[in-house]
Amino acid sequence: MQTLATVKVWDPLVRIFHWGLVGSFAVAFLTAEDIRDVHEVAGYVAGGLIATRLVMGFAGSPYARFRQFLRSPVEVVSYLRSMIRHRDRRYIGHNPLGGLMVMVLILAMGGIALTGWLQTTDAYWGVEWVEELHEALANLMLGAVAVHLCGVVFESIRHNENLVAAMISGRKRAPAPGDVV
Amino acid sequence: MRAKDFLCSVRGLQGAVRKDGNNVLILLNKWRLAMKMILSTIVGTLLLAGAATASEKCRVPMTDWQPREALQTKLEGEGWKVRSIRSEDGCYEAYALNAKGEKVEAYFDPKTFVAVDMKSED
Ligand code: HEM
Repeated sequence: MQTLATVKVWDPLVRIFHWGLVGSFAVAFLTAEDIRDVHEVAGYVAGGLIATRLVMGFAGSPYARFRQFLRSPVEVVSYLRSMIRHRDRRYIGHNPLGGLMVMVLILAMGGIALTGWLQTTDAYWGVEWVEELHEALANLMLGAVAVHLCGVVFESIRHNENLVAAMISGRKRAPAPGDVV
Repeated sequence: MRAKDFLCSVRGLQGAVRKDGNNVLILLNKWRLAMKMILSTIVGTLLLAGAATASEKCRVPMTDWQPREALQTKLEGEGWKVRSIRSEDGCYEAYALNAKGEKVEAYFDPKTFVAVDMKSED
């Protein structure tokens, strides 16, 4: 029996944020057409989670910070190239492509929460473009989540680790030589 | 379970089926009945849900619909600030601020402009 060394990567707040967002998005999506009260509560929960995450992006634990995982377009493209050639290195935090996806997910969800709330204000009550933007962002989010899941599965297989379990326990296999810490 | 045990149990099962054809038939019938009940419940629920969504608040032939501008003019005459009017459930659905400044979502008969349903909040 061999026990593998692991390192802490995702702090508890990141994990609560993640699974809370999954839950609130799912509930909001399922109730969008006809259970308005539940839809609004789920939307506010998601909005609160996003606001918290934005703060964590600047002042959170090392792997939660935007500066840790937001890379330049050049780096993203070169990572994509290395992926195609099966040469991509293992990242302990988000890889450059994953980091980009994380930002898309956070911003899209923030935009959805914002345009949803706007529709309850006097100024934007019943204003059609806000409603249309809200729905378009929700559809974008749905597509992004699908790509996100594909990425998680792909990276898990590529580096022989269970990233979903890591987002639950917060721990990942200790870095090997060549991994990006 | 070892492969040999597995094979034995499969053979045993086949034997039982041959010897005890009647019991198997009874079981099969019970199974069919259960599936029928489950399926009919699902189909019934779907049909009911479909009927619920298809049930329209207003029933007016298209030729009798007044233009939505007419509804807008009427509501504005009553002091409403109309944000949008769309067709929904066979009615016109208007989002507006009423004369008291409350946010309203109201359904109107497209022929008579009688309010069929109205929700408001301030
Ligand atoms: C509505 C659905 C989802 C949304 C909006 C979402 C959003 C996010 C976000 C924003 C992050 C970045 C976490 C952070 O750094 O704060 C993330 C990471 C992650 N998500 Fe999701 N997620 C969703 C569904 C899922 C599901 C269903 C799974 C798995 C079954 C999953 C697995 C992961 C994993 C493993 C990571 C870490 C990726 C990495 O190792 O770089 N996500 N997700």
